[in-house]
Amino acid sequence: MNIIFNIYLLLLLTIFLNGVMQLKKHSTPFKILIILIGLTFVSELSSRLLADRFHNSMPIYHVFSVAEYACLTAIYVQLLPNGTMRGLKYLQIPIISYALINSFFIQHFWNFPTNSIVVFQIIYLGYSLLGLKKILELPRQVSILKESFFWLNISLLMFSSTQLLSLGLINFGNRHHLNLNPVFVVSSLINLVYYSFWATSLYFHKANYRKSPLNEDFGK
Amino acid sequence: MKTLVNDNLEFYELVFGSAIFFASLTGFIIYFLMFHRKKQVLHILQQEKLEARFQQEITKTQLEVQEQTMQTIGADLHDNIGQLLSLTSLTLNSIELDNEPKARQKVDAAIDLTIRSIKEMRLLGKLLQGDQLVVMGLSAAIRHQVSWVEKSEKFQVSYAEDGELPAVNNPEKDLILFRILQEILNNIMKHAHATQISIRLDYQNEQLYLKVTDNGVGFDTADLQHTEGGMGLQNIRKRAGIIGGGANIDSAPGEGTAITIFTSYP
Repeated sequence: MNIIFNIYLLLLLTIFLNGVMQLKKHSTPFKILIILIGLTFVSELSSRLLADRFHNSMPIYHVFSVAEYACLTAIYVQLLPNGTMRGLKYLQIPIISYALINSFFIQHFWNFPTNSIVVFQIIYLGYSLLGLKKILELPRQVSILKESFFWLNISLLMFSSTQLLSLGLINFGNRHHLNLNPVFVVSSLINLVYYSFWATSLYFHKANYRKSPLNEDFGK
Repeated sequence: MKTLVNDNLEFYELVFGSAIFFASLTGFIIYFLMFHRKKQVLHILQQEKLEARFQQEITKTQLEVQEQTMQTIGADLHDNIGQLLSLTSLTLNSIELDNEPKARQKVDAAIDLTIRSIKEMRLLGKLLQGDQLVVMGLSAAIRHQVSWVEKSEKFQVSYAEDGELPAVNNPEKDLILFRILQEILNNIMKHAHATQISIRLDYQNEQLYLKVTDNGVGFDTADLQHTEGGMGLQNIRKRAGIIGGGANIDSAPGEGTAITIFTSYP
């Protein structure tokens, strides 16, 4: 388990540093994506440190889940068509308010914020589906596997749906006092795949953005 | 203890089963999207190919209309204006200045011939606009063509319109329709042995119908599949197809021919 976690941290750090070194070669939404990867690395590392020291790293997830939501919304606001964009912008206020209310009054900082995370994952599922819809509506003479936006959407679709499933399984396992290790192993492996897809997305974005920076799929 | 182990095993199966299910689902979605993209790309390529073929056909048609116009001008210069000017020259050469009344008569005749030549030249000037005929509108272009056919005095040509044509025209469709009409008229003049030609342009429910009928010898449509005439008719059908329409060819030996071209318009 530790090995997988260490590989996961190393992967995050590599993608982040590589992204930072080539930050100028990316458009704004993908710059935000790089920042989000950095934030993920910091949160995962600090959660491990907190867990070792105080045996509770939950406050990190309260903060990080909101930051992740804000970043992913900022990314999709720029990558999706104008009409959808407006809706996403206005949706941020009630969603963040809900997450804050949850953190302060319902699932306090020392508990895992499942209420917020479930809502966030459902929203990410929506983002990814909207993104894939956009890809289908804009036919290009390029292989879909070479599109950065495709990898971003697929990763989010896969991650959000499996996150929801793993939350359900953890809940079920806890109630029936079952060994949750397999869930954590599978979750960690999915994390690895998820961030590998992000790395692929950044790679193709950099490659294609250099060729035609005016491509509307890249955002501004 | 045994129950807990069994429960855990079932739980593991559930976890790994779900993981496999989700992995397969992701794979399926990727495959579906790739397949969809492939179909889209194929569709785009087909559309581009069709568009290129359409543009090619338009250019070819334009050239054919120009060529047809030049042939008309050539024939007119030779048969009409050329004859008039030769006659003028002969008349002027035959003037005897000693015989004043006769000379005056011949000068008058020469003046008359010159005026007729000028009129013919003006008509030719209009024809020289070539495919610009179509720019003036399909209806005007057909009228020009009719007046040219009538000049041969071998055919009685009638032209009628039914339904008001839309204010906005489609120059590309007009050009192709005009060229089809030229081809039909040429076929009638060369092969039909007709004396009467009727042209009708109908516009109903955003559909344009161009009907050309003659009282010529007609033909058996089934016999013409592989002959030169059949190729010409196939060409008419192909062109009508290019502008999203079709052609109905109705003929029988000794009963004349009726060809109807139809297409959505504009």
